[in-house]
Amino acid sequence: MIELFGVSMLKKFDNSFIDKFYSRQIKIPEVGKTGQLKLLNCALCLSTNDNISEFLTFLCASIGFGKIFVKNPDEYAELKLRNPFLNVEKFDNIRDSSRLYIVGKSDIKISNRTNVFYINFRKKADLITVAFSKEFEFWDFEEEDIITQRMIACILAAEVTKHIVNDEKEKIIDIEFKEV
Amino acid sequence: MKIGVIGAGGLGLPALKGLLELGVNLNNEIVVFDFDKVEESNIHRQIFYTVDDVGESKVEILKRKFASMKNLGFSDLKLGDENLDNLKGFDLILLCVDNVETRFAVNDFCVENGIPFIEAGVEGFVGTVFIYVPEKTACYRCFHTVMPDKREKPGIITFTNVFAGLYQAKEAFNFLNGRSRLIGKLFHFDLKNNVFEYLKLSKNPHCPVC
Repeated sequence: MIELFGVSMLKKFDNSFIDKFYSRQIKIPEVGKTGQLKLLNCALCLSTNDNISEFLTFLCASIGFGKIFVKNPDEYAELKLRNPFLNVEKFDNIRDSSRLYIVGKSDIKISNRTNVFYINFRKKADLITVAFSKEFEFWDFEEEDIITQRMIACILAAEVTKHIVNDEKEKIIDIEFKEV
Repeated sequence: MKIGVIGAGGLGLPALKGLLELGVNLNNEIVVFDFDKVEESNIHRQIFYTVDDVGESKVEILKRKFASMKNLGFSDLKLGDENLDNLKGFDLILLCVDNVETRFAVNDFCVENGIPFIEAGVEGFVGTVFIYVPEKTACYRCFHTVMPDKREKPGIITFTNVFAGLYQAKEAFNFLNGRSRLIGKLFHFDLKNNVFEYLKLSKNPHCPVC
C-alpha cells in the first residue's frame, strides 16, 4: 500500500472512480494502475512563478498528483476541478515524509529529505538539462516564445512522471530538443 | 485567412490555446468543430474542461469560455464524408481527431480541394505531426495507404497530447507567415526516450489519393 503523510489515500476514494477518471492514462503500460497510484501519492511544491513552472504545475495536477503546495492556494482553486483527488495547500502545511518535488529555489524547512527532490532545469541552445537532486542547483533558460516554454514544461512533466513511476532517485539527464 | 480546428479534445484544445496565445485570431478567423460532449475520462488531458462540465457539449463550454475572443467561432457539426463541403473556403485545417476514418475523409477532401492541413497523432508517450501542402508534400494517405482495423482507444497522458497540439499551433503560425519548416517532413517525438526527430516524407507514387 502506498502512503502519503502516513495516511492511505486509497481510503479516501472509490477505486473505480480512479479507474474511470484516468482510464486512458492507466492504459499506458509505463503508467498502469500502480503508476497512477504513485502519482496520486506525490506532492509538488511550486516556489517560483515563471511560465514553465506554472504550466508544469498545471500538468502535474492534470496527470494525477495528490497534493500541490503553493504560496496562495486560492489562485489555484481551478486545478481541483481538473483533478478531484487533488489538495492544494499553503507552503506552511508541507510535511517531510512524502515523495515531494520542489520547483524553484526554496527556503522551506524540510528535515527528512529522503523522498524530496528539487526539479532542476536548464536550457542552452538545443540542450535541455534536467536534474532531480536534494538541493536547488539551477533553474534557468534562454528567452523562448510562450509555446516553446509550454512544450518544455511537457518534457519536464514527462521526466517527473518517469521519475515517479520508476521509483528513481537522484539523477541528471541531457535532452537534445531541436526544432527544424 | 480562415482556419479550421477539427476536434476540441486532447489535441484541439492545446492547438487552440497556442493559436490564441500567438495572436493568430487577431488577423485571421478561427472555427472550431466538435460534436461531442465532455466525459469524465476526458478531463485529465483536455485542458479547458473541468468536472463541472461533464455531460455538456464541448463547443457550448468553449463558446462561454471564449465569448470575448475576436474572430473565433464554434460548430457542433459532426464532420464526415457527407458534409465536408463545410470546409470549402478554409485556408488551413488543423486536424486534431482521434480516429482514422476522419483523418482519411479530411485528407481526401483537402487533397481534392487544395486545402493545406496539419495533422497530429498521439499514443502513450509518442506522437507525430506533419503538414500537407497541395502540390508540395505527401498526403496522409501516401504513408497510411490502408484503413487499419478498428481497435480500442489507446492510452494517453496529458503532456503528450498537449505537446503535439502546441506543435500544431506553432506550425500553423509559421505556415501562415510563410515560414513553415516542416514541409516535406514528419516530426516524430517520444517523451519516454527523449527522441525528437524529423523524418523525410516523400510522395508515394502509388498513393490512391494524391
